[in-house]
Amino acid sequence: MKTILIIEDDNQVSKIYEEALSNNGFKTISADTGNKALTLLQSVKPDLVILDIMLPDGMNGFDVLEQMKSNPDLKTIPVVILTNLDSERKTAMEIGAADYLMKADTTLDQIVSKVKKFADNEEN
Amino acid sequence: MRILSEFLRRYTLKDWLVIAGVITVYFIVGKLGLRLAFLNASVTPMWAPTGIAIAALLLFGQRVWPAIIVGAFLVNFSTTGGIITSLCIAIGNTLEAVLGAWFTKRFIGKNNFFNHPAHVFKYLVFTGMIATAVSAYVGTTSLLWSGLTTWQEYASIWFTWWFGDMGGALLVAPFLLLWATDRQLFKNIYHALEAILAFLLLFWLAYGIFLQFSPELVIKTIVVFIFIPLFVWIAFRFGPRETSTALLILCVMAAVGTLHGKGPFVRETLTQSLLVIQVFMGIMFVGNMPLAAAAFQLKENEEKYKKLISTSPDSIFVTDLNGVIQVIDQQVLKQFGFENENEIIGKSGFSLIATEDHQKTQAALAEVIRTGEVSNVEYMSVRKDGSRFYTSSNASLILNTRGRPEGVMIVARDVTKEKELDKAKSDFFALAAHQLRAPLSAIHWNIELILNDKANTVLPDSFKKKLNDIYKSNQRLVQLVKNLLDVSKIEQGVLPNNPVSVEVAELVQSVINDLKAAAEKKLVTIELKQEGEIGSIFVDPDRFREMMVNLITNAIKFNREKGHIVISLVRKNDVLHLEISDNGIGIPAEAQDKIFSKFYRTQAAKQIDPEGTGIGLFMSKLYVAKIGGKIWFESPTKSGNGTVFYIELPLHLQRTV
Repeated sequence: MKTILIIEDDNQVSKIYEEALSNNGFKTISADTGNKALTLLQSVKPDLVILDIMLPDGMNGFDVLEQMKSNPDLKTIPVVILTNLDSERKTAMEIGAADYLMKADTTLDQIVSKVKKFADNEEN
Repeated sequence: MRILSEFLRRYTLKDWLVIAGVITVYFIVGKLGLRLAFLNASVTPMWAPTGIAIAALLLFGQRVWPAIIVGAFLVNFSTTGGIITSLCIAIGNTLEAVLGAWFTKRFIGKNNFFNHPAHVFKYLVFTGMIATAVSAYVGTTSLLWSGLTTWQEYASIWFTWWFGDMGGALLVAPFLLLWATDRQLFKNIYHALEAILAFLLLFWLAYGIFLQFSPELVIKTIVVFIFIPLFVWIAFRFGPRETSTALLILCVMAAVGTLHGKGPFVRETLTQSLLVIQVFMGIMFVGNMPLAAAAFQLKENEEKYKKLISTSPDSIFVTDLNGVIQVIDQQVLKQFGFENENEIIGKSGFSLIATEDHQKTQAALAEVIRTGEVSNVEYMSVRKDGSRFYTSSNASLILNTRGRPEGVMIVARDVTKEKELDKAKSDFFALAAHQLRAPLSAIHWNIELILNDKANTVLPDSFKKKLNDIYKSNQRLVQLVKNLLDVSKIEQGVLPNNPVSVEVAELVQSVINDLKAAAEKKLVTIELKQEGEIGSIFVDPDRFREMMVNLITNAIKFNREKGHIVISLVRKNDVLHLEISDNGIGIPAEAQDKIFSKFYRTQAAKQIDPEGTGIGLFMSKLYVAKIGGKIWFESPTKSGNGTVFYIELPLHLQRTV
């Protein structure tokens, strides 16, 4: 069973991701700040990370992404950004995000199929 | 009798006093003038009363004409004693004055006499020459009838009469009119001293030349040229009023001298001498009054514009074609923190503009020189102390009298407050829209979870249908919020724009495919026409697509049933021409200048599509303008119905966005 780490400060939203992903046979773990996520990543190695950009506690999604990409253990994990910010796509892709999705424009089905696609790719 | 009493009742006591005064002055001056009558007892080469009559009618109104007729009658009656002849001459004099005053009012106005060169020429021709000819004609003819002159003398008497009256009209009337309408003396002591000096010089020269000079001197006539520089001085420094005064003084002194057999104008007979004076004075009038009027007008305009400019809240610059500052208004000093004009004049205007905006403003300057004007160029200005403010400028080209570009006038306004307000508004907008997005996403995903839950079979179909409706409404709300955000972003200039090479025809075809279902619902057909190779364009595919979706959706929505849409693509001279024509309801005339405005919707649009937001065309226009293209429309089309939208995009779009 593949594990997905959800980094999302909106509790309601992360609950939705968890439900949709577990319905499709994924195991999920969640973190509501960047710091908590990085701590979790020291012990768990997920198959994919869903990352929000606007996060509390002084560490935003870009910081998390940069830390992951600079860590040899973590840099191969695909990161799918799910955000409401539509102006940062370019930056995120340059740092190394696997994809950049707008929350408002994306259905759960689309999210699930993206996760499937990137999580499977990683295995290959 | 009744008519007479009606007539008399229209005059007040004050009117009668004015009339009596005018009669008295007219009579005295007329009698003095007739002492110069040598050719015929009633004909004098100097007839000041004409000027008095014209001035009186202009200053007191045409109603005081009885004063002229009575005054003229008395002068002539007391000279020759013939009632009929005197009456005829009086009628001629009155006609002349009424006509002269009417011409003056008609062509110059009731005040501000002679402050424009054109006034002087109009006055000269209409009042000075035409009106006076009437009097000369009536007067000479009545003398002939009554046997006081003969046919042999008719022409010379006519001319003498005419010249005499012309002298009065040109020298006396302007003097009276100008002093009556402008009694203000000199602006300062130096100006007054200068005036005294000029007039003393005039007296001295006129006295020397006209009252001391022996007429036998060889240089006799030429010496009068000495008055020209003096009069130019008076004309330039003091204006029409002083010039007309000097002319009158010169005329009187020349006449007095000549009567005493002195000065350069003495001829065989006195009449001849006086006619020479008249010609000389006429030339002096034509030479100097327009000059004085022009100088006066120049000064007055300068004052007017200075005042106009000094009350403007905007900074006004005049630069040469390279942007070097030539003239500024007071506001510039205030706005840019300078104390003295010399700190700015002669410097490049770009020294007052932030370095990063030099390229933009240089381009704007080049555009002004090319097209004649630019408006609303926004940039950052730099004060003397280095602080900055947002500026919006309009500029226009100044042409010299030969129509060649000479300089640029720039009107600059500090728009910092507007900018701050705009930004606050936009920030609020963006924040609000942003905050709305998170719950909207949660709503649509939750509905999705419920509807996709295969295990959940207990949910009745009616619930599912309602959830579906909620889902759709939510999607609309999502779209609306997205649009609002886009508007605020494009207004702040931060709308993401990631241009790549896009195959135009391909993209348009895919938009058509996406909208096929909507079109088929309305039985509308869409046709794509291409002329030649279209190729690719360097644009943001999302933005371009959005614009095409907006325009084609409109063409479908506002088309009639079974309508037809033609989209044509033409590439010509590196410009992409895109046309979208429909045969729908068209755009009503009163809405045509508003349809590109934010949130604007026509009545018909509200009925046909109550859910529209009114920002599609607004966004399209902003986007097209941003990438250097043009969008406009024609409705109804030349063929009579529907609307065509035209878009022109340069194919060599800048690659650095």
